[in-house]
Amino acid sequence: MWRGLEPGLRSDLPFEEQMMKSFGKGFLILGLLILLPSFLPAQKFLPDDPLWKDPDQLPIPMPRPIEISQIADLLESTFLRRVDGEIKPSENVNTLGEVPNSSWFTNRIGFHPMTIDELVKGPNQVDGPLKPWVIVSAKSEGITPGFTIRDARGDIYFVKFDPLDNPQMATSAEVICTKFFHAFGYHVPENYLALIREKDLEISPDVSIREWGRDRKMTTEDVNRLLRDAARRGDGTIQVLASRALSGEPLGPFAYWHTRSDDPNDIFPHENHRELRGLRVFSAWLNHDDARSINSLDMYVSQGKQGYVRHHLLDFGSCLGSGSVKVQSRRGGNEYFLEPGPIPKTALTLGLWERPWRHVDYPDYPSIGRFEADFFDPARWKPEYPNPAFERMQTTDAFWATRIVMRFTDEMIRAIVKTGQLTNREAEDYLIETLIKRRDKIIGYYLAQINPLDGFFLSGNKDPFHLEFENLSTKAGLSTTSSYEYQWFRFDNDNLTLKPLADVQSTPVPSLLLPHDHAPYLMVRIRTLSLEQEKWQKKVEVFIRNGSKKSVVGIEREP
Amino acid sequence: MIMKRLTMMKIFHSLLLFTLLSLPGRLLAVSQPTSDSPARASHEECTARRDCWRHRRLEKLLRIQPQEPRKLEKGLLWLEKQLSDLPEPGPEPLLQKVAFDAELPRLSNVLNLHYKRLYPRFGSIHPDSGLAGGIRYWNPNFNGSFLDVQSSAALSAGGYQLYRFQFGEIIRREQDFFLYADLGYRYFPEEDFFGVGPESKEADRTDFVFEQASYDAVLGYQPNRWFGAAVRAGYLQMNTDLGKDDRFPATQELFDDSSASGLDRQPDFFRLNSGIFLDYRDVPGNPHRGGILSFSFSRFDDRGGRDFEFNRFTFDARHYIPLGSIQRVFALRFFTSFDDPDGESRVPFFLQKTLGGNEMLRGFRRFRFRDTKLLYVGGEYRWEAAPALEFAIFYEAGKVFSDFSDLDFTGLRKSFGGGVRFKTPNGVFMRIDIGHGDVEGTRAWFTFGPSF
Repeated sequence: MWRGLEPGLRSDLPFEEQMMKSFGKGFLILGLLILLPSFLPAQKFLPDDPLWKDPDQLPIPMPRPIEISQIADLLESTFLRRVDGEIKPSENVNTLGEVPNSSWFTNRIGFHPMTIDELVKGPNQVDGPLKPWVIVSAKSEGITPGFTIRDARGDIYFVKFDPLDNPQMATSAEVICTKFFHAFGYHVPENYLALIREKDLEISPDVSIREWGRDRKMTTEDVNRLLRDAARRGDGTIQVLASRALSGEPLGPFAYWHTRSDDPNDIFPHENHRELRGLRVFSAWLNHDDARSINSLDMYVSQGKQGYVRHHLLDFGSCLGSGSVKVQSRRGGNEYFLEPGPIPKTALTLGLWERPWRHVDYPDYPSIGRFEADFFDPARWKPEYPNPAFERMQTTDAFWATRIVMRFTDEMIRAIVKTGQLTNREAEDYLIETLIKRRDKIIGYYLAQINPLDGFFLSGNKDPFHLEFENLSTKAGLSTTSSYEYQWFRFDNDNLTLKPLADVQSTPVPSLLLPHDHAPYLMVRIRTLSLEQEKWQKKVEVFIRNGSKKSVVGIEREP
Repeated sequence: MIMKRLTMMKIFHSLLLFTLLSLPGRLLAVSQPTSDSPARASHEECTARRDCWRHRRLEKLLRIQPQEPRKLEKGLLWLEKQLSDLPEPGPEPLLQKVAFDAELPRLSNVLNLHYKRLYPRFGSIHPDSGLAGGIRYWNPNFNGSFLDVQSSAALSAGGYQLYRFQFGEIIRREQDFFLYADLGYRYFPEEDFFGVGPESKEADRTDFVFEQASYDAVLGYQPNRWFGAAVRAGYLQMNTDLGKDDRFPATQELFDDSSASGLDRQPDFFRLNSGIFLDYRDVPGNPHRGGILSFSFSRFDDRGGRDFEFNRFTFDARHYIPLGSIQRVFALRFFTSFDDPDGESRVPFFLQKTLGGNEMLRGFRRFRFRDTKLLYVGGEYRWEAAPALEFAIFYEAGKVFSDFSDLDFTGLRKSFGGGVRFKTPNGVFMRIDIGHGDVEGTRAWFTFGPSF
């Protein structure tokens, strides 16, 4: 719901006089006021606004670890947690609409430029697990066989392989996506690529494996059998993903819905977190269709005797063209697991009607899998099943995420992809090109949904001050000519009312002279006028603290 | 009058003005979130944003409660744990079916439920048995040895019983061979019999008890999933009796030994089965392309005389053709079986191959036609509406006969119909088919497992 300011009435006549003018007009205005709750100011600015650090790390007793049922999550997300009625704006944002640093998110590339070195390093603190590796537990059955090792430094890592026919696919994708998600600002594990041979592995004497219902000691033969199903490189080595254990005590996954009742720091419903809603944009870019609860992990991070809960995204094996244990399915990113719409269509046409995504051509790169940019449509992209936060993403949330996506230059994308160490140069180039194309599609789509003005700041040390900003559509090359219509208001922060200071004006440059007024707060409403996009006329309202120290204190965008 | 009217308007507009001016507060009150709501809701009580949010956290701290899964979620969590453990591997069913020419019971573990080494099972014992439940004991590497031990018992709603005991190298592990002993007993109280030959009548439906004990040794070789061969050799004891289904006369009442060979005497047999298969389907349980070819040879030797000695040859070919997409598959099956009795020997009716039922000729009753020779061709057009949901229409034809000279495509019984299948990526676990026969009406089949 748009909660910006809307005086709505002419200010040159007393309100009562206007009302007296016409009986019918009174009803009309009453109706308008009921329909436009944006008559209310959205918020009262407090002295510490905008908040850049959410104090959500208050020490709390350790919550009990929980499990989330995947089936319940699927069914509830598919049938019960769909959008029903009005969508609330994101709640965990500051008055600028930004996500403060928190136990969920740390502003990185969206807040300050990152160097290539920083991007490539990602979350990594060491240079990978040090050999020899000692297997301390193993999983011989299940969808993703693998084992846990303790390296020479004593650190614990979870080791995963690539499917036999797709060397490097899952492991490289996971490393690449980890770097991206870290740069976006999420808390992610340190994921390393490593090359191993059988001789690099030792088995701890107390490791047992379950076979045909019976636990027994793990043997070298078992290790060989596990590795037999892993893809090998030409020199006989096996590329593995080693994911360093997160620090703290695991508490289980977080839900994209409601809050944890046992975590007092967790006060904003997860579906109303901007970084979880905006995750949809990032996931669409990287085709991380497995963005669901099971691929998250809460950790209790101790601070002395007590600690707090930190929230992580993990397991990016189903990302880019990888489906983790096999190539990404054609449905991945295109249709929910349970989507009623296409079923009767296919059923009633004897299968002659086919989902369009079934005919998408993918290049044959075993180390990439199924990943492409031509058919990709950011608006239509879907995760494995509906994600309550994704479902509630508004254009303002998407804009927030798109600005972050825009920060990635071609050079940065190239550098991150190279951390996947793909040996097929052609495949690597294809992946880079595809990511660039998908990035551009995301930018093109989401910037067209909202007034794309950003980067507001006040220039000048003393009067006259200017409010400077940039037009992201121009920056992205989507628009060549624009002008800006604007109107200044005085904003009463105590009563949350507005008073126009001047008539609507326009300018071709992204720079507005601040009016000479001593009101503590000013507000300017800006619309972008362009022939290219009607939606750019949506309002952006910028609030300025107008004291001796002037600053931009709030931004409201019309979704 | 005019003044009065103006006064009334003023009063009205004053009321309207009051309403309008108080509206924002009312709207605000309406939109006040209740619990975990935006920080701005409590701005009246705090002087800094940080404090607002902190206060809300302190408030929540006072009403903190453990995060408990709901009952339904608890149940689903338990279910997922069962599903996450892979089912215990058992003997290779494909090889059994191909090599031993046997109608296998379709009993599956209930998820992976088990107590120690006991696994409850659910499904069907036999096409006519109705729903069945049972228990399986499975102990691989018995006592640390190379021997696997498997034992099972099952009982159906229709009173069908099945007991088996196997020991030896049942599972194919690192090596390509397996060798085990297999002892079994089955009791089928309501087996349908309509007479022998293509001219048998539906109105002649009877039933009989079929009882069999078997003592076999099995040797198999399967170097990979595409190729396998096996031999089964052993001793068979059989018995028939009056059927238990009160709705129909017993077979013995309507037929005699001349029209139902073996009705008077059910001999013991020395039985030898051997088979070979070549499987090139993409996903064996859920094929979209490729096929499977299998051939088996069986020898039945009458241990009480020479009345019932014969050889049996069967050939089964299935092929799957994607029609522009794996979403649409045309599936074809050709099946034939020939029993070749020695001299004047005959083939007991209860060992003859049959047509009709949920696999072949779905527009006819189970076991509707039987004879010493059988020919069947069927085609299914299948299309997936969703990964777990498939629809199909089928057309099939077949006949039974006793003389090689009748080996042609004349006199075929035909049926057609459609169905819906519920699948996992690896196989059909349930299907509902409705088949219409050319002469005997329409039948509905609810089946665990694929058609072919």
